[in-house]
Amino acid sequence: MFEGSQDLPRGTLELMILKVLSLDPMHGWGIIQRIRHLSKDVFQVNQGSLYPALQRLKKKGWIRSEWRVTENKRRARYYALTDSGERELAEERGAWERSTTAVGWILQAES
Amino acid sequence: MSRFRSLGEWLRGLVGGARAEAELKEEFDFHLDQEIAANVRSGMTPEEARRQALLAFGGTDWYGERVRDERSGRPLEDLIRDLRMGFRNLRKRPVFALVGVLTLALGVGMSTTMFTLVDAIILHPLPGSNTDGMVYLRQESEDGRMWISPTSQLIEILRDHSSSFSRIEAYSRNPYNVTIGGEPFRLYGAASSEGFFDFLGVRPAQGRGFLPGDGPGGTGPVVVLSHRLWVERFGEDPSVVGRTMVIEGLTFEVIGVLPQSFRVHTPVEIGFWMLDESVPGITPEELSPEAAIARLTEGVSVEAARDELNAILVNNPLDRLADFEWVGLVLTPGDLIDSDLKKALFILQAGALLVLLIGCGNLANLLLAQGEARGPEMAVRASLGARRGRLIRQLLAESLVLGALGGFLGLFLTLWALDSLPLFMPTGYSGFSLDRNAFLFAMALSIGAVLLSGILPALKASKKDLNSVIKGGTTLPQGFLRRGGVRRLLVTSEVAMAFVLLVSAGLLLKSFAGLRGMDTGFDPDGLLTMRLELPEEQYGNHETQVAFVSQLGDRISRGFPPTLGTATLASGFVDNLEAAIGALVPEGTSPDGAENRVFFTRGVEPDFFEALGLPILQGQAFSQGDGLGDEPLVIINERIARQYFPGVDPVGRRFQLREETYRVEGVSGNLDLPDLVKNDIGDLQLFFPLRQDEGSGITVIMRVSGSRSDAVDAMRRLIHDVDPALPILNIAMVNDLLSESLNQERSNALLMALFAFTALLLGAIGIYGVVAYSVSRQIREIGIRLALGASKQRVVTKVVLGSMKTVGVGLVLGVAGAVALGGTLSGLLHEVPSRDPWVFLIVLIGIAGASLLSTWIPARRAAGPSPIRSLNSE
Repeated sequence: MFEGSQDLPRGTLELMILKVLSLDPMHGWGIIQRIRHLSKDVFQVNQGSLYPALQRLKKKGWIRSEWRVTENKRRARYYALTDSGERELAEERGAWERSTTAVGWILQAES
Repeated sequence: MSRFRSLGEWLRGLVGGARAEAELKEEFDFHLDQEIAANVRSGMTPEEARRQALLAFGGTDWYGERVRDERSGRPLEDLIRDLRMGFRNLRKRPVFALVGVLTLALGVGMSTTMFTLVDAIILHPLPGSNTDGMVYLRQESEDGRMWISPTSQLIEILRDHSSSFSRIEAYSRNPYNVTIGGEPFRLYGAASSEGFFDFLGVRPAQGRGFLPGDGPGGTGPVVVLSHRLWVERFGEDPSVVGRTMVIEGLTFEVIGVLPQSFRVHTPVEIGFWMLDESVPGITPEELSPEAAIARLTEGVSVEAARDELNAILVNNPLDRLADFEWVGLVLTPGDLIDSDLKKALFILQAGALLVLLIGCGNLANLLLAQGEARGPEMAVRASLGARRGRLIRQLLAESLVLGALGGFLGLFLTLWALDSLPLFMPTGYSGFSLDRNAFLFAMALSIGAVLLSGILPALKASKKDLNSVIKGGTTLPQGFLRRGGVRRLLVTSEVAMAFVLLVSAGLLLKSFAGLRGMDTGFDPDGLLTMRLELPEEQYGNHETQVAFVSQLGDRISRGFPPTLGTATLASGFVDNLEAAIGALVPEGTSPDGAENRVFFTRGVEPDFFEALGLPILQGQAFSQGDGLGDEPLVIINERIARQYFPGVDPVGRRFQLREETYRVEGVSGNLDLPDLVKNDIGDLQLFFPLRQDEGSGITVIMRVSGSRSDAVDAMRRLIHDVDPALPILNIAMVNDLLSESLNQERSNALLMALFAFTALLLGAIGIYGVVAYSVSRQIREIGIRLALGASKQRVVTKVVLGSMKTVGVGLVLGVAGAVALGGTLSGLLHEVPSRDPWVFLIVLIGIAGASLLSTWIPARRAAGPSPIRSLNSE
């Protein structure tokens, strides 16, 4: 699923996609580049995971897609966050932060 | 084909499937191009950039499957995609598709044809749409073997006294001389009251039904045509309303045409309907109803109505009823149908369904083989990410396409079969049409059939994993039929079902052949009969009737040319039979305990016995002088002599029957008619001198030795010398009448034989398919055996024996099934036990032979010319 980092909790990829799309509408290739860039090359999202994930998010109504023309005049499918996607992102982000903080506490615990 | 395809494209466009596929590809292409461009920017050569990009992307098919899986939010789109794919896959295998579709079509066609008959005759025996609470009124003899319709007189009484029925309607049926467009012929017509069609809820397909004011007092004579008559005699003229036809010399105006589906239960087809008051030469009161149809008052049960009816009969003793000791009965529509016919139809329906089941077995076999052959494809697709559910759905979609095609072809077969039905069925049971019920039935059958035969193969095929397929290659099944447990089961059940069907067909054929070839006691060759009905006005009493008979008899004996043949008169011979029910008490014995029996009676001229070749065993035939006023004489048949006068010479003795004393003049041979024999009636026969026998109907019997038409013409002249106005009815050869009387048995046997042979053929094809397949799967094993020196014969024997074991199990099951089900046929068989060992044996040999042939052919091919070639095929 991810090169370099195997065992991320379920839903992490979706969360990252939502986050990336909240910055700017983006096409599939761009999403991969953006995630790699923002994670400082730690996460290499595989195409085989990305497109089904995009399909899942679309089905849930969190993102929508439309065809746009890129800067070099190619047609590409752009994905963008919907309002409910925005809410979902906020919620998931809260949950993520709470759980990482909690995991952090556990890891820092000293006997 | 192109039309089908463009339809598919249109449907796909409708749900956006095609666009989604194209967009998916464009999206992937864009992704790949971006990757390549990025690689080039980072300094790779274009070729290397492309290679790396493809490597990273890893092949679009897999994502495609996954994305499609995730996307599947539109069931209609999925279904259409699956169906289209199924259609494409079938086109790649035309032979498989053709065999599958034909097999299904045969089964569906036969079953739907039978269903149409069952539906029309048994489930909807009453014409019209408004049949709630409707019953036929009929009176039966105590033993239920004979029945009559109520007389007009009784119907009037019931209308006045019964509160069980809201309405009672009746119709009468008679043959009439009609002329249409200048061409004269004889045809059955019916007469009813004005509200009859409204009562039944039947609306004419063209024109109108009867209205108040129709008939002699108003519009003059009007007639409503049957669909058949309109087609055959009026050339389907769309403006037939207003045209005329002549019935018994009276011109009638056509006011309407009945729908094709309209049918009443008569043994002959009714060509037209008129009002009771319009029937030429007879008053409405004189018409004798063929059937009375009544509607139960709401809330009244059939049983309550029956009780009330019987009470009315007791309080209003009617001559005919008291005399014949009939019991009043109310029947539900279903009871009206001859129980043998009902039984036959159900059995034939079951037979047709068995054929369909056998077809399903074959189809399942084909699909299993297909599944094996497509194992690699399925495994690769599965490993590329297609989920099992999707694969199963797709395989089932293929079956569905097969089912739809087979179903439609089956419907066409049904249409054709219903058209050619008169070839198989007794007259009066034609004019059936495919209706909505039959259509739904056919569709349900097809879908059920493909699901039944498709689900197991789909489950099996989709379970393949790549490893086993790649490792296993094409040599998976080891040993003949060993791994194919399912296939063996299919063959076994096909053989068992075919056995049951063939035995049924064999029994029915044997029974029919027995009746057809039975000894009638007389020689029917060259015998011809015609019917005279003496009109009431001229021949209202016994004296005038006897005068006519004497005149005609004398004229025949003096004037009928011996070169043309011989002729005699009787009250009835093959048809128009009369029966007396009562206790026969020989003189000098006590009437106590004498049992009521049914005696078939015929009034005959002295030369009747000689003309028919019916022997006089004791005593003598009547003489010319035995007439009105003399002592009543009788000739009894051999069975009566044996049962009532055991050990004594009955000639000269007297007996009493229904308050009349007869003197036995002689004993004749038994005169047996197949349609009476098959119903176990008519074994006791009495012959009276025609001139002592009161009645207005006369049957002229001729044994024609020369030209038939010359003989008929000569007889017509003699009859018209006596009464120029007397119509001559029902000219028919006795052999034809005898043959027609077995129409039901013939059609039962023929239809069952048709089903059985189809079953045998399908079963043989099924066995062939399974053996050929299993042989092809172990071609290597066979090759090695041959290479190691096994003789071809040994290999063939091994294959054949292995398969015949499976067939043998099926045969055993078939015998058990046929023995268990034998009872259901027994009512339709005459003098053939339902477990007739000869029939069983012949069927056993037949199936074993057919099976042997269908295993031997593929087995021989396996041990073909060169073992090397067998090995090379790997």
